[in-house]
Amino acid sequence: MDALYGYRGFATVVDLTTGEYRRDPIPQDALRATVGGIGLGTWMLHRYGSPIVDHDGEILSDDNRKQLLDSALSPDNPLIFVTSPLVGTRLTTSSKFAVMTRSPLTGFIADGLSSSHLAVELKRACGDALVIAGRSEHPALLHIDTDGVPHIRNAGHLLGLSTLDTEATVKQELDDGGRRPVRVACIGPAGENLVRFASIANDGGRQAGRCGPGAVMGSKNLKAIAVRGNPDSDPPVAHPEDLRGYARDLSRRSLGAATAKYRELGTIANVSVFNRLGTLPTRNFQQSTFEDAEAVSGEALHQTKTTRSAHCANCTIGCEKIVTVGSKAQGTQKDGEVSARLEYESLFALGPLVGVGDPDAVIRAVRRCDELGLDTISAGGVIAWAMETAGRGLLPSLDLRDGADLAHAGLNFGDGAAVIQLLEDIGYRRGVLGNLLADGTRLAAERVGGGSGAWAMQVKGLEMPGYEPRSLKTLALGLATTPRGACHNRTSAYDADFSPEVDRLAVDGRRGKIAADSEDFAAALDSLIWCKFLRRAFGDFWEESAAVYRMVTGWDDFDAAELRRAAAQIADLKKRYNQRWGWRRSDDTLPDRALNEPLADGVAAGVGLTKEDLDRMIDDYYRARGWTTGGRVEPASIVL
Amino acid sequence: MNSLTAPRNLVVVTVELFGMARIHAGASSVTLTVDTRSPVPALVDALARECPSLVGNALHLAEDGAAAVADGYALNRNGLAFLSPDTDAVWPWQEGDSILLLSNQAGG
Repeated sequence: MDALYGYRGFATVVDLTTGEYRRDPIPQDALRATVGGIGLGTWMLHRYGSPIVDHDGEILSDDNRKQLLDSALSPDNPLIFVTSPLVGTRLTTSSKFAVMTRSPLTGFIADGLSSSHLAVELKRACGDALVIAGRSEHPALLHIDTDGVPHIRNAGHLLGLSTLDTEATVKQELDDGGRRPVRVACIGPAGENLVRFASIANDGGRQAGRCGPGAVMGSKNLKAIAVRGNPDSDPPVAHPEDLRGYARDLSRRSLGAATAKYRELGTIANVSVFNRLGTLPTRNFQQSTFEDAEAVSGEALHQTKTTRSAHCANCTIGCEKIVTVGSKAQGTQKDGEVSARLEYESLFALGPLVGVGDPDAVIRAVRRCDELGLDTISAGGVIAWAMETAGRGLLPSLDLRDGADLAHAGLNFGDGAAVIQLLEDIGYRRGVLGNLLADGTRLAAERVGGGSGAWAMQVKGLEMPGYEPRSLKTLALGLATTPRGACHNRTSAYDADFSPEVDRLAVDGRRGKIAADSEDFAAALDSLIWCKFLRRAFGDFWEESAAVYRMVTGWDDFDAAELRRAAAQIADLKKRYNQRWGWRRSDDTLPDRALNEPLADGVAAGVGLTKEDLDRMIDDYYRARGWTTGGRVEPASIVL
Repeated sequence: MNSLTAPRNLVVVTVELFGMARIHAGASSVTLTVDTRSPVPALVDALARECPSLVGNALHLAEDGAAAVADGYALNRNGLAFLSPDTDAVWPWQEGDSILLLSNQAGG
């Protein structure tokens, strides 16, 4: 075997059912073809998480699809943590990892990213990936220390703890008095209760949030993972001097204009801009502007609240803004001091989307989501759906029996206290309504009926992020076609919409190519893994990234063209994975509201998006990808 | 008749400020009087004169003293069309137009 640089060359595989573990080698051609992160993770999902029966091309009944959805919570569904060749190199923003599984919210691929110290320790302790299969018979803590041997410990005493308390407790228990601390990934009560959009938290509140990986972790009876690797395990870098020079230069560029927004106000700066552009989803996407947007804007929070920046490990940008509200004098009471890591998506979802314009209420809701281990976007999305459904008089059709449920019968947009109460009910699956909403918007709408699916703002079951698709047509295509559902992160198609390149309110024949290219760009970023907020700091992204890959791996014939091919193949691999789990053409679409209701307000008032226009763009996208007219990737086109 | 001899047709436009531009300026908008046929760079120059606190962050001065939109920022007209900041193309400004000065980093 050739010497391996940048990678460890193996994955640690732990079976929670039997307690056994092994180290599986990862072929070098697979590493090179999929790069790392989400690319390698998708390859591993095929390897460890294939269906017993391949459903590609099969016409499944709704009942069969429901069974496949629920089977994401079976012991057979692996939970995979994947690092990348850049982890451990000290390149800015490179301390990141992917969390891969099949989503209990969508039934399809779930490919989350999170950051910070855990990434470095995972690579040291577990290799390029940690694959967790099976289900523990007791609440478990998976502990892997410097010898790389997994130990499954009883975690009964951790049940019910918040994510933050779980991490603190595990760190304290495994503190060995002087060495480096263990790094922890864990779930909160939402994951324990199999809320389908539960997150996995690490490093003090970082979240792999979307698609419900926390529910998969909960289904395995796994409360937490604690890792501490041996620094001597860091794989060598092929060209260390070159890499050091490049790292210095990139760090310098990362502190320039290309990341200014993220460093200064953070992503919360989007609120006022999106509001002005008519792209701020408000009250369950009934409006695209919010009358209280200024009150919850990044500018206002910067000027009126105590705000400080937070950095992931090895990151020079520090995009995250920790905002504090309330009074220390009130202690833990209702008005007591609370801090939350605030970014745009959380702010949008628990603010304008649910009609809440009180920044204190939004920040308390964000904090509560992080403690419970809930994805803020999906939490806000399902509550917004419930508020609209209540307003249309459909919630009383539920059998609302206990006190908490009755309080929700008169649920209204803008009620910040009700939002926090609902988050509690969802996180613990309390009451009829909390239990209903814990399954996500799509399933909730199916159960309530009454046409409520028309305003269930989700794609493939995943709740929509804070971008109005009717006034961002390129992103609309990206949201409809991205394998994990309504996700803005696995496509960067919005970059075109926020530029002179296209008319964001109109549809034309170029969008399929733009969306495919932007998805490839995201696949490369997410596999290497670079932070998205660094993307404008590169000169030629493909050339630079290929050069860095050569410096790390020593595969000196790897060039930009090969990186582009790898990125396109990662898109194929993701699609093929979904096909095996029952994907059909009709899954690539947008919610009824986005296709049938023109925007009601803002600069884009009157602008809509027809199903015919969306379908034309989707056809163009399939063509750009080289897929069949029905949107399928042929297995033979994937070569590893 | 060339541009030097053409009669000037002045209109009042509003530059709306977002993000750190707003905080540096201490205001959410600035009013400018410009010729309807001013190219974008001329409008940016007028903005720098009207609101010098933007220079050094959202705007920068070239060696010849002309102002330009700094890297990392973008311009948009009336919340609809994004403008190429360096273009010499003339957008016939109209009375009451709004020009948005915002970050060009869209994601989050």
